[in-house]
Amino acid sequence: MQIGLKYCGSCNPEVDLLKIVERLKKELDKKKVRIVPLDTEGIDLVLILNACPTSCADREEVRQRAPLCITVNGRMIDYLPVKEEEIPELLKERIKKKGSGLK
Amino acid sequence: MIKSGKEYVESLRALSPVVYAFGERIKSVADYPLFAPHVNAAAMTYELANHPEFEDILRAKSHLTGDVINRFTHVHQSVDDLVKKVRMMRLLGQKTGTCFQRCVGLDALNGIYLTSYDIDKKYQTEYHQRFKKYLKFVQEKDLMLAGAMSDPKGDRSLRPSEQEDKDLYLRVVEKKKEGIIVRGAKAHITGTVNSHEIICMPTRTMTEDDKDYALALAVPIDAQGVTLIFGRQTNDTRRLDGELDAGNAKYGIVGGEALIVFDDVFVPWERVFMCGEYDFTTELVETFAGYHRSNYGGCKVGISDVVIGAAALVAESNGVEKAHHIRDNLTEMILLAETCWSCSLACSYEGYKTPSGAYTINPLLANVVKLNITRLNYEWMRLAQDIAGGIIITLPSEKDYRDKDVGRYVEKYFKGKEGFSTEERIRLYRLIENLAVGAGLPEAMHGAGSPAAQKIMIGRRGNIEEKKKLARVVSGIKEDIYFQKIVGMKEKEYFAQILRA
Repeated sequence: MQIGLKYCGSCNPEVDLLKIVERLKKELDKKKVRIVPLDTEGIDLVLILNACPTSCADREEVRQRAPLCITVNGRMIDYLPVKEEEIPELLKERIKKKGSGLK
Repeated sequence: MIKSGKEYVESLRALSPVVYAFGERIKSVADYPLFAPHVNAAAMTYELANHPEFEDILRAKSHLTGDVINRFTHVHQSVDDLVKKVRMMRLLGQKTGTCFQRCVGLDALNGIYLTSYDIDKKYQTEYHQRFKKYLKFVQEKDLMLAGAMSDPKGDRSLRPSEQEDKDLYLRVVEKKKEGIIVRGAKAHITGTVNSHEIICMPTRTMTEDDKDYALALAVPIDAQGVTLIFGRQTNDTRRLDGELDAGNAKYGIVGGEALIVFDDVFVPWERVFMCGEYDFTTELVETFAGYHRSNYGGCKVGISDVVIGAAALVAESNGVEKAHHIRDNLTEMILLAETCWSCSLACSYEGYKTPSGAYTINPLLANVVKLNITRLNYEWMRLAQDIAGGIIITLPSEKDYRDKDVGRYVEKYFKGKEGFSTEERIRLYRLIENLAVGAGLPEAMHGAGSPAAQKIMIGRRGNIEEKKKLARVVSGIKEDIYFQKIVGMKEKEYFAQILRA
């Protein structure tokens, strides 16, 4: 599975997106999941990383980069509140769940 | 092209501007210690554009070439661009804790883009085409421009053409086939010494008598006849004393301003974007001022994020973080800062498309941003001083802290709560001193125009005549057709009915 990352720009971050990604990379099974640049061909999932609820990077043209999408929105995932320290693990689970439908 | 921070610094070494500071002719701007913090701050505007976590804000797509460029060279093509600009300001304010200088040039590019288009429409001149070529050049090379508007002005009760010394405003003294010769000066210009180019605009509305002063042009920083004289600031030489006493040793305080002298400088026509069209000076001044004022709710609020963090940390290091007045002060600081942030967002979201195709901010709200900053910035810095205490102006120097005989006393007697080293506390106190007791306050007051200028614009654009109409209708002086529709009869009949009852 190939995941492309899109960052919002972190103009006034509530969460540290780089730390989240760093921890997420440790959680993921590298044999099954690769994090690649967003402009890579054939991305399966785009992970839109917004450092606050405003979610500037959650735009149609970004979502269209892949058939699947998950958003971080400050202390939310897909606009549902979560605990900040749990974000990487919850993302891993969500990626696994969404990816299970892929051929 | 998008330069890295390092490439930007390197690019300064290739230039040879005539720069004076402290009585010395400076050979290399990039290597002069007193300029280092300003260079570093400006370098951040380059560096962050090269990191994926910031590129959505720091990068844009050129509407001229389709290339990806640094947003500091972009002419805004949408409301989203205007919003991203102020987000960029807040981000850089947070990262540097100071003025990072490059926005003046950005706003000058946008102001001249709009105005040159309008001048050409009226006079069938070629300014806009020339300007687009220049803009492409700026974008391709990823240049930093010093936006130069303020003239020295002399006797402010006199117009430029009435001054005894005609050079007190920048003017054209000769027109040739290849270009113009200009003479005069621009004062208080931010980031000049570490810019690649100077882009000049008129500082006020000009009349027909002042048409030689109705000038917009660009020159390289090392053009023949240009001399830069660097300005002094409170505690500027502290940066030569080590790291701690400067407070913000990496990025300094304010932008590093200079007097730019134009001693019969030749400017080729392809770099002239207004020359004599005095009837467009108001538009250019107000357009630039609007763009520039809209930034302050971004950059100063980003800096406030740093000072709020520093104040919270010193309170913690003193063991008083739970005290009611501390928490109240911190909340108040956040309230004031976010109020200004709201204003910057509002003036951006209320922006609109101009005939040139570029987008501009809402001018009324832009002036509201800046006027609020002139007041509220002082208040949140006052609260930072309140939280930090008098220690910010009584701490011993770094030299004493590091001294083999007395350093141990400083270490011992300035220790706070467990978990904070004395050095950490000194760093935080010095940072607050730097931010709250220095040149940053007058910069917030006067940068992009003094409070009186904003009040003039707010008064002019506040639409008082329309508001009078509203008051006449609601008070009953004038007919209220919607009320009549609600009650099904004229107001007078309706209230007469109530009286009879």
